[in-house]
Amino acid sequence: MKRPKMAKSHKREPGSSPNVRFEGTVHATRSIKGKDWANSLDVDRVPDSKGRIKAILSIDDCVRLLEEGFELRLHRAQKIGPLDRSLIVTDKAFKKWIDGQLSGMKDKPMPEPFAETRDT
Amino acid sequence: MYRTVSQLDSVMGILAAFFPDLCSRVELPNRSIQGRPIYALRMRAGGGGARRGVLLVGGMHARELMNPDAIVELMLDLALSYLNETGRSYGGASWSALDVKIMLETLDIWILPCANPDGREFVMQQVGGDRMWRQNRRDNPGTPCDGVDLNRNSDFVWGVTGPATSCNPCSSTRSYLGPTPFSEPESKNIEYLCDTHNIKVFADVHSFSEFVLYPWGHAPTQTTDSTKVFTGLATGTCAPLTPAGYKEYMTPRDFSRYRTVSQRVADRIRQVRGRNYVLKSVFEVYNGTTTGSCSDYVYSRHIANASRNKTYGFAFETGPNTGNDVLSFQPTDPEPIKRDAKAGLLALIQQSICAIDFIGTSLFGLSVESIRTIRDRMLANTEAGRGWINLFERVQFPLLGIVLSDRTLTKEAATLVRRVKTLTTQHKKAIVSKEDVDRGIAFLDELAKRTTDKKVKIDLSTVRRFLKGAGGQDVEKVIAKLGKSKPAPNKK
Ligand SMILES: [Zn+2]
Repeated sequence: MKRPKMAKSHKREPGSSPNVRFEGTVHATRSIKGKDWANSLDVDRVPDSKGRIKAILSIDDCVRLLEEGFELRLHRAQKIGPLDRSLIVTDKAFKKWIDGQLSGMKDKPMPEPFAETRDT
Repeated sequence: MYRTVSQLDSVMGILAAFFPDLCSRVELPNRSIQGRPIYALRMRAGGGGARRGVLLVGGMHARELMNPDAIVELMLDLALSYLNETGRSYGGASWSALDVKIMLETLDIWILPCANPDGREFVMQQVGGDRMWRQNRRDNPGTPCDGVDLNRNSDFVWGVTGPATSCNPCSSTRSYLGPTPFSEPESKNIEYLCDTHNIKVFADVHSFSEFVLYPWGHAPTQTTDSTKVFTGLATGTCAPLTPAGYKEYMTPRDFSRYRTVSQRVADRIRQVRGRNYVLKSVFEVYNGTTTGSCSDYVYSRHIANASRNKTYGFAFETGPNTGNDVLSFQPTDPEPIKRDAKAGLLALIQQSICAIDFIGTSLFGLSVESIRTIRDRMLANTEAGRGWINLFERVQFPLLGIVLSDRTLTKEAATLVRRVKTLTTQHKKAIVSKEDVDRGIAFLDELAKRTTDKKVKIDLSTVRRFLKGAGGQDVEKVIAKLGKSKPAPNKK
């Protein structure tokens, strides 16, 4: 079964999945056999300081993992969308920053290199 | 705040235009999937031909936004420090003007700050973009899913899967390894830079978790069974690594070097504002197999093909795990984390200098191959020998500043390097003469007089004591002794 192409369109059937992902941890229940289960979860893993199996989960991931018998603990919902515009440097701010950094530097001579590193 | 791809490119363009004697921007041979040019910048000062190269890469994973900014800022900081002949501080971590001068005049510092420009654009794209996008923007044929994970696409145990490595283009891991090794133009650019430049040290900067990472990623690292080499592993299987329980070999010397350098990087980062970066192998991040990563690939190159130079490959995971993944990837105020990253990268650049290589090869055109052979084939094989290598590596940077600041000392250092080279290329029974010893000791005493660093003084006296006992002995015996007796500081 092909998954919906999340990247190109976040739209889903009305009333089905909202436009969110979850940050959560995945836990094995008694129905999960073997000790290597964490290696084949097929989730977007993120490191966890407590050593838990932490991931960013789509709604589809949650449904699948629950059906497979895992327990999920969801800590936070993330709205799917681009980086907030306020976090992107504007071209005006960029120009001000680079001009400030380089002011007075245009014709700055190169320092004398260590004598022996000069091309001779 | 995060810069756009074109702003990052502009920083490199402006640096190259303002300071053409210091910076050159090059367009890499492979444009991104969406046709964007991808740039690298080389920074070097002074003359001289062949140099050791350092390559710093950022932005491979699109959502890890801080690192491309940190890397271009670091280059700007280095350029300004060099030209103004001033030091550079990040919080409590400082480098003197002389430190910066040594780095720029001894190394070629390469940056590829935004390895995945399409991905970064997509994260910032206000209509239809996704701030959690990780991969490049490959349209995977026959599937509705886009993207290849550039840090799984290198030709290193490629095609073996794990918790964050998948053969499925639609995998929720966001870590699709691509149809073939180096199928992606963006990852091919890393291969190109390694093929065409003398890259000795490589750092791929990611986020988050505050780790300094070293190989291996496909399996746990071990230093005792040299028969376990990745070239014998089955690849392209789209299955977990076999045999089960496999552990990859690394020479004790390289393991020690990785740990030592990583620790120095972490120590420098701690000086900034007290953050504690932890040392790990790539495998330990998820306690599972990660294949095709760039830092493993660059280090594996010399093992897969002995004609290639060795490159030490590191990866950083910058920024803390805040417990909120969006804020861990994209903190509202990335400035403190960028300072940590810049300090760590500067520490790594500093560790990439080899004083003997620089004085011998770059300044005086001497091949130092025989000295390198002794280090790698004889000293590196014993714990005591590795102790001497570590000692040398820890004192070389502070002492190089002293040596290069004085022409007479530079000449004397070269004379000594030449003499060591002569002795080590001659018959093994060549005798270390009393004059050799006296000259060496006079040089060490001069350095000890000029350094203010107590630890360096102790190391110099350790070397002095050893050298004193070497007079009249043949080279073979002296080397054997170095390999048997650890450097022991005088207890007095
Ligand atoms: Zn990453």
